[in-house]
Amino acid sequence: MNVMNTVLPVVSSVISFVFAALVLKRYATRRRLYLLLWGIGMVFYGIGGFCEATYGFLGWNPLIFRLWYLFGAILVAAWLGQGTVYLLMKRRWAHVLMVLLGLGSVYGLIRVFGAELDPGLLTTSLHTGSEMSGQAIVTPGVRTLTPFFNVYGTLALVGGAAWSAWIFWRKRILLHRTIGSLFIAVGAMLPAFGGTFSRMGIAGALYISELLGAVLMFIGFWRATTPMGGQPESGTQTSE
Amino acid sequence: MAMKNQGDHTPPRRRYPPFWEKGVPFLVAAVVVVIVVLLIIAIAVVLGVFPVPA
Repeated sequence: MNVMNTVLPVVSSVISFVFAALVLKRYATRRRLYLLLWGIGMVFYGIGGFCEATYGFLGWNPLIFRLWYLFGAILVAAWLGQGTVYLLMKRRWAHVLMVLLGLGSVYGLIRVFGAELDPGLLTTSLHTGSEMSGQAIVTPGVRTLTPFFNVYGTLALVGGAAWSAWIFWRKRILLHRTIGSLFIAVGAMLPAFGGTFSRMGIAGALYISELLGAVLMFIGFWRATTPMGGQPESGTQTSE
Repeated sequence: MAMKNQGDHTPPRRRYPPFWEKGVPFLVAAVVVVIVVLLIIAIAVVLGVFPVPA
């Protein structure tokens, strides 16, 4: 047990749940689907951090591992990205993608909760088991799901945020949304990098990047929803 | 003629503060590059170029 695998996931989990509460509160008043999906995505983010912290404090537990892999490794990016899809794409296409994501998520749930696990594989690999890793999954085909969800989610969330920033910049409007979108884009990329660096053997990379990602996305959301002095609040497709 | 001149007058283009005016295109380009790199890595992982150690 150390700060890296206990405190960091706790902090990122708390930030994620607070972030989720703010987004869902905004959804309650504005009734925009993208806010609902972002809120759900941040709840998944928080569940991932909670499971990591639980593993850091208490050690192996198959239920915690399955919850972590389902919500933290497979679903979180895709559901956050689906929110951006609802924000930027025509609603008909967003609904089609939502149905596919829903079916894919159910399939992922069935596969993850039906998978055979071997906790011993964690201690023989990544940082001698100090961090969660999908390597504990023995059943073939389960881990193969992850890139598909994460590529879709990262493309939608990061690409959508970058696209929004670019559109606002070209029109030279709503600077706060340009800045907010850039923060969200960078924050959303960090966990993907953390996973890569973690595989390269850098201890704590995943948990640090998840924490920084949550913080940057939180700042980005706050910045994007808080107009700077005297600017109008709406006016383009990429605004609310 | 005077009316035409008035009609031809276009307002000065709006600009962001200098940092964001120059910085946003670079930041967006950097994000796009990173997305492409991540995509390549993801495709490589799916194709088994980076096998997961046992």
